[in-house]
Amino acid sequence: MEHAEAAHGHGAEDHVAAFERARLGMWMFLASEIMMFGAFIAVYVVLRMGPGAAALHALKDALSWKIAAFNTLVLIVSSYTMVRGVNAISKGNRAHCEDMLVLTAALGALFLVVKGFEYAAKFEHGYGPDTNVMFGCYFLMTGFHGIHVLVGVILLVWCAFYVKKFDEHHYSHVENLALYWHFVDLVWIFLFPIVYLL
Amino acid sequence: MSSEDHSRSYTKVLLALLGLTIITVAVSFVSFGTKAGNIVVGILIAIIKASLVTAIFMHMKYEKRWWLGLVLFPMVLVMIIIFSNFADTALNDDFTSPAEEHIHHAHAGSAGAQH
Repeated sequence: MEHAEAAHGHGAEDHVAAFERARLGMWMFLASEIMMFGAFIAVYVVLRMGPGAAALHALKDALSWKIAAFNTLVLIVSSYTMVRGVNAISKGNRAHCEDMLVLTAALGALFLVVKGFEYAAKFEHGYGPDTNVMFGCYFLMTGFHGIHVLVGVILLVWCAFYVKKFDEHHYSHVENLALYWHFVDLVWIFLFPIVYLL
Repeated sequence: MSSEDHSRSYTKVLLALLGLTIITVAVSFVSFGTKAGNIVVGILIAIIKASLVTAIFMHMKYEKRWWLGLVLFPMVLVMIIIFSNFADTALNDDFTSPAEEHIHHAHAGSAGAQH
């Protein structure tokens, strides 16, 4: 009896609490992701100051900051379209949300295509993860980031496909996907200057 | 997250991120005395960009205060890893030769074992 009353009387509150728990869970997952990418960046920094110092020149000569800068802009704009998508669904505007999800996925795919050309150019010139320790770091960091972008694009397409299941009260999937996508952007915000510019 | 309209702040953040990216590239061509100076400036701009994305795009500004600890704690751990290695890297001038020698030895050892 009490249960039924609670469920009836606090339905909206329960929903808000469930949404909050979903976001908290996502943030905990992102904390574990920070530790993973943090470990990669720590390895890069330590090697760069230590035994990899000599190998760094070969990597820097092979990298093009212009391609990376273009990809940075692509990811920043995709983060913006993602947040517009969340904003749209929070107002119940499914059509606009779908457009923004598709646009975000397209920008993510563009990032991957550019990254593909960048990798292809490296392999063509005979550079690979085994060239030296800094190339190993470069392929490890950008490769893992690329896999994250790929997973994000797949989830974005999936979310766009099922957008009819969401409304202004039930959109935790879109919100959590947005958190993931912004995180992927965040990682690149650090990788761009660390790997390509400095 | 509240369902208020933050559209205007989203656009402002987008413009700030684009502007800061251009600044990041521009300052990488300017020398701040030492290489370390450039690295500090580059990382500082990246931290500002990351804070904007986290606070506004990821709505951390509107979440419970303690959630920020979830993000900062692993970052502190990463910093500990990096700085605890300084004794072996940044503060040690003579790291390259023994390390390379060690790698050389390891290579010679494995090559010998294979053939």
